[in-house]
Amino acid sequence: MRKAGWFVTGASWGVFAFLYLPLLCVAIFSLNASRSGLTWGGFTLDWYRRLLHNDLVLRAAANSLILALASTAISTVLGTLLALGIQRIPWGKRASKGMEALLNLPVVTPDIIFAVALVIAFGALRALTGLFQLGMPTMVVGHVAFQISFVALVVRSRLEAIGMDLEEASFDLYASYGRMLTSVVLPLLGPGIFAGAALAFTLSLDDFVISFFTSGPDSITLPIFIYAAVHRGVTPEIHALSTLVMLGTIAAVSIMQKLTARSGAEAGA
Amino acid sequence: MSPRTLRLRGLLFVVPGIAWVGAFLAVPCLALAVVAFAQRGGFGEIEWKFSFENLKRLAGWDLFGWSPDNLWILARSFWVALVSTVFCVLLSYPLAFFLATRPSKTRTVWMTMLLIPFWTNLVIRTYAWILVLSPNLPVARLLAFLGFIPPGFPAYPSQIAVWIGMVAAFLPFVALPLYTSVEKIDWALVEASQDLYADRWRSFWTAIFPQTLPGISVGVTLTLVPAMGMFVIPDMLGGARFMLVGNLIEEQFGTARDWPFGAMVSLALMILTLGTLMAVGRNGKAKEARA
Amino acid sequence: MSLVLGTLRKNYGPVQALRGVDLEIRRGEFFTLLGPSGCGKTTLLRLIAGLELADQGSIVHEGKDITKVPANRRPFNTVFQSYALFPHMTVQENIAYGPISRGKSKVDSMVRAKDALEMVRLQGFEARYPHQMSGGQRQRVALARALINEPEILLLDEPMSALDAKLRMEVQVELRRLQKRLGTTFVMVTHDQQEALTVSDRIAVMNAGQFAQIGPVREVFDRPASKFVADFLGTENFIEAEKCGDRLVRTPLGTLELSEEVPWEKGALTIRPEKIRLAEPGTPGAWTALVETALYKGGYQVLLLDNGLRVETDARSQWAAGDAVHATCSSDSLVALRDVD
Repeated sequence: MRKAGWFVTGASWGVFAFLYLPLLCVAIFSLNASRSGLTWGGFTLDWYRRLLHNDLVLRAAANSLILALASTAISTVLGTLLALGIQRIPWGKRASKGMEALLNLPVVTPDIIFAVALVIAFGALRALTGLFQLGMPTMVVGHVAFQISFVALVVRSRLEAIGMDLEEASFDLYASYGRMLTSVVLPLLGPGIFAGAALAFTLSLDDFVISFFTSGPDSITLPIFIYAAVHRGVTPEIHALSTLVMLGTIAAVSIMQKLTARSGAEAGA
Repeated sequence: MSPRTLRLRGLLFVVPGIAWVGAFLAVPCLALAVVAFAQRGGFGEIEWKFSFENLKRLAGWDLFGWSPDNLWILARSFWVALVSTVFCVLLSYPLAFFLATRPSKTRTVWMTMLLIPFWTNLVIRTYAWILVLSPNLPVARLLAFLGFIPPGFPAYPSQIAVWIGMVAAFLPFVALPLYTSVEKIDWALVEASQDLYADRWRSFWTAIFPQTLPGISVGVTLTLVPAMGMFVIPDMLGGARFMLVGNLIEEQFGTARDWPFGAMVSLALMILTLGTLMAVGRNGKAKEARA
Repeated sequence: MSLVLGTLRKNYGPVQALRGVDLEIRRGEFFTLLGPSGCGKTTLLRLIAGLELADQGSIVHEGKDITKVPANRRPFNTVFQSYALFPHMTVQENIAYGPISRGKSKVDSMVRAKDALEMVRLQGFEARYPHQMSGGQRQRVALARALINEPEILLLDEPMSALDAKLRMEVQVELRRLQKRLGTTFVMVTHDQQEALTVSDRIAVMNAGQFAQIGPVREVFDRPASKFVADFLGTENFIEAEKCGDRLVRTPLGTLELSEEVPWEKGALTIRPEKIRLAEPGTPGAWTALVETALYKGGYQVLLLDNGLRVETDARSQWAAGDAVHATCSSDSLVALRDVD
């Protein structure tokens, strides 16, 4: 591959600086002893310490985690089944097109429309059944609704890569449909299911708009907390919290990179 | 095993997922169209009386006569999304080429560097710009000291901050698919064009650019559509004056409690989104066929 | 009669893959389906295996109608073109898959798998994974995996297309020996006519969803029924002919005699290149031509004549372009082609 000219290199460094400048500011400000951040008041980890005692923060973090875990569990199962159903059954043309459209709908819909649709759905269901008050359960329902598509798309592409040969061989060797699923398809699909679940988990943790619209007073998640806090006034504790979140992201991304690099090498071998 | 039994079993697999998405997304989206033509009752509940009130209001007619405010918001949202996307594409080009020319050992590192902002929460990434742009805080003061901007210049909250926030937010969404395309470029085409006396500019336009179109197409779809509906960024960085469609909608479902009008605005956004998707889809296919 | 296929029809949308074919396959024979890609041979194999369902027609095995029986309940096994070995299972687990699916104990099946490995000369490979083995080894595992189930019919889908030429020849011979030893009915699909000739008892040449000719190998090879079959089997010599007597035809080479009644007024004859006998000038019935190109092939020579015919002869005398050739075609080496299709 050819070498990059000075323009490309310079511009790229510029873009990286542009992307990281704000993030670095947050990290630096989180260590500033001066509350207002207008001047440098000395290096301190106090703000981080105060976080640990901040009940609201801890609860928000817990909510985010619980929400992500619950919704990922449900959506992974439903999404995998959906992918298997779409990919392996000979549907008619119209049914296939309809399912495709429905599958892609969450991916192309802007967040806010998704959120509005959910609010309306919950409102209608509330009027009908008296249930579906906004809170953690509605957030889970909302998250699952968009996660299913992502999981299904990831699992489906892995299914396509595996191909039908192995399933036919399994049938040829007297396996029942159930045995074929458990002994051949699911083991080979494993990495795809895991990737889909990881994607769903991340999308849920990161989500703001949908959570914001479907949350109740008791079910604040971390992004909502930060958003509300910023509106009240930016404080160093928020910087500390944000820095921790960023560190978590960095860790997760690095791990995923390592994993994909390794599996890439294995597949190539 | 007839196709029919297979399909019955397939239904078992498919129905839960489809039903979930249908019930909580597809059907409500259709319901939006219905609610958009309802009315708001005195206490903020929905009155199921068909009326064009909301449509008229969206077009600008309200109690005080006609004002273009709402239409401006729609137009502005589209404009901001479009121009942000263009800037993202322009800035992503050198980045994509830079990444594609890194040796494989360092490439993973650089990719990780790009993925970190991509996966960092949008709320955090956006409010972080407040720290950079706030005129009293050190960074802006430093820039003013160096003469880049006049001192006290209110870069935040402002329109400029929203532009910056948008571009910063969506850059990775364009850079990553563009990188995928750039990595696959067949350099033989470039060499052929040089062999046929093309200068650098012509080589770029005829041999390189067309090969990157698939990546641009994906990046634009991933950026333009969410950007039109964005409300976090204008909300945090734009201040009260700079409203986009997302803010308008959020208001109806929040403080204003006017679901029908909110539904109408959402409907407008949905139509804009569909239009954009179709335009990009058709454009992308036509260009891909030619490339 | 082991397997009887009656008027099988299969369409893929607008494409007619099989247009109502009838076939009988005998127990214990090595039967090959031969034809160009797209002729329907693989479709037919998959219908027999049960991996696809016919749109019309019947499949009867030993008197039982199995047309609607799903693949996992037919007593047939398939060796796939890509071998389709389960990548996440060891060789032993792969081979034991069939018996375990049928309900045999896992321990039993694994032991029998080990024995099966010996049958294909892969002892010691039990714990290996498919990606750790060569193409030829994988093929043998695929064979063992199928044969361990003692199927009534073994189906092979272009089993040697992924092997290099030398290995292919060895495997062909081994396959034939194996079939004779086991006595199992083998049905193979291939596009390689050499392969079909080496291993088969009977072959069926297919074209566009129908059979062009079915018969014992020698018969199809020596007496192709149509131009298509002759062409596909590598015959290049076509002689236009007009009937001028009970067994006589008028041709550009002169009047020739056939060994049976001429079936048409006007048609084409074919003769294998090695059956054209070079003769001394003046031999009765001999025709002459000039050599356009002479190709030396090591053990034999190929002469391309100016009348369009191709002659194979031994390498004893050296021929060169421009030489005059006198040759005869014996009546039982000339074949009248039935369909000019």
